[in-house]
Amino acid sequence: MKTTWLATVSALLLVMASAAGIGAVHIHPADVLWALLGQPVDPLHEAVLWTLRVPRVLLAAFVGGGLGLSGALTQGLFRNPLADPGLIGVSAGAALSVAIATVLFDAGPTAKAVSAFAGAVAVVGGVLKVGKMDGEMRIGVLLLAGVAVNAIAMAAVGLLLWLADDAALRSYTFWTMGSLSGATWPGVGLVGGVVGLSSIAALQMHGPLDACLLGDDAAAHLGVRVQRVRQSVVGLVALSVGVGVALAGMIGFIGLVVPHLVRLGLGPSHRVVLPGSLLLGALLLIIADTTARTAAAPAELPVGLLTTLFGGPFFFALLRRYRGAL
Amino acid sequence: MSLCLEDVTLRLGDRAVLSEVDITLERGECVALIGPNGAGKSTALGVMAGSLHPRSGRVVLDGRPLVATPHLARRRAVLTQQSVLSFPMPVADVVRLGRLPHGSSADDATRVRAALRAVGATHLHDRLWTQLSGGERQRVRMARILCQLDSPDAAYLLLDEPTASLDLAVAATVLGQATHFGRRGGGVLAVLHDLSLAAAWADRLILLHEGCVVAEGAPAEVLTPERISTVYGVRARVFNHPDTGRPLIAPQPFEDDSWSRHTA
Repeated sequence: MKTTWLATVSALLLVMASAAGIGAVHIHPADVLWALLGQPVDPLHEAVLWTLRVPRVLLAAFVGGGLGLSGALTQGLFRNPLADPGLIGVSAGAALSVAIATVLFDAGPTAKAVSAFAGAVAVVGGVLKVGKMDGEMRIGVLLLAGVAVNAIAMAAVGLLLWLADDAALRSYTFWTMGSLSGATWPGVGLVGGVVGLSSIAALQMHGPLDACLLGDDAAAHLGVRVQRVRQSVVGLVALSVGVGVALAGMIGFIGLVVPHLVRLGLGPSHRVVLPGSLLLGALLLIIADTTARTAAAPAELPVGLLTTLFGGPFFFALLRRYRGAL
Repeated sequence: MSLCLEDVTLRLGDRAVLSEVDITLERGECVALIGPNGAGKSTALGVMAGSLHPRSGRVVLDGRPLVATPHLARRRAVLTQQSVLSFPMPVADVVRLGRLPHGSSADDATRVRAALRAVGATHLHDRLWTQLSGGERQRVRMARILCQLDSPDAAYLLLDEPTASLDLAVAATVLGQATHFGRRGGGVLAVLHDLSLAAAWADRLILLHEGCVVAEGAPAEVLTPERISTVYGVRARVFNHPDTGRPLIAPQPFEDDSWSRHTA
């Protein structure tokens, strides 16, 4: 087990260093490491690294890690390996809010980010309120509330897009396909802070989350405060996905696929699924983003499009191969 | 030292599921809660477990209100009828969850193995939960409960139909381990449907009917043909076990008239 973790972390660091070197200006991974250690390298390389590549790779790592972790948390929350963070309305909320900002207010990138986050958190709050009966959050009701809210939000988005002019339509459409091209240091700091703190909080809860898989009563009999765990999970997912969606737009399939990969390799205990999904989500989004910005260079593919394009069939193949073990 | 329901009433909608029920479970005894479907057995057990809250009355654990008991999960364990686990979790990890109330420690792996050995499931240690049969799952659930009770603080064990739809061997293992816990000074309460099994296993029976305790005492006192007829609406003969003297219940042959009476 220890060697697996060591290998994953090393792979992540190696991929980060390589990804920072790949692009229009090629930088050798050794030079990347050298520059990261504060040693003098080619000034052009240094400028490219510190202003473009490093923030972008870090943003990909934090957003991807946040999505992977949120996927694992959501699947644990719904006790269903096919659950996705979108189920509690987080993406729909962000999408509606961004559609309003783009179509009605012609918002710039910052306003779009703020509205995406606000929309995500607000809609999840609404789902929570509807999904709560007699002070208790029931999984079935929560799921249906999420489905209803998703449908309403998407209908509202459709209405807004019908009203939209071509520029707003294009801006919104690209947002839904996700991109990490807007990476800045303040953005990296924000996502890093939120995802980092969420991870620390989530990793503490692995025992109670495992107990919740046995059912609410069984978990409660083991002394787990089920309602409190559930609310914390929803809150952490809303924050991590919300901040990711705000800075990178919609990026599909990481939250759904990554926890599966970890479970197939290391088993379903949250003790391994949570940190594993965090690391693997980061790893996959860095690879996807590096592919997105180099595959059709000088043009850039939307990274969300890429993760879904490859994630979908890959997921399908996994299901076929491992359906016996699921 | 006991776990008690005192004058407990609980309603679901308009219907009183439990009305003014008093149940006392002393440490060191094995009690079976019996009665027809819908009599309120599982509800009474849920109230004793602390997962259902009565409208009136008190639940008291060793002289203190149950809700105010610190570290309740270290004091009592509950074996519920079903678990919804649908992830392929290794059996060892499922059993280890019983250690959750106690905090993790270095000898958890040993405790997990000991619990699995106690229920005759040593060979399941590395299997996946999703690949187990119904009987194997019940053994593993019981191992998790034993793991939770593996502490000097553990005092009570509540079992909700622990033998439902299971074969004799699994039933004997689960109830045998429950007895073992009782003989070491724990209080055990089990909801059971099989009256002969309840009579053979329990020190004391509590008979619930329509939300009320209608009889309580030694198996031979509670299980009389008249009472079975009143409560279950079934004519039955009661024999005595040749070795133990405990009652054995045999329903009358299903005659045509009684059959049609029930289906009409």
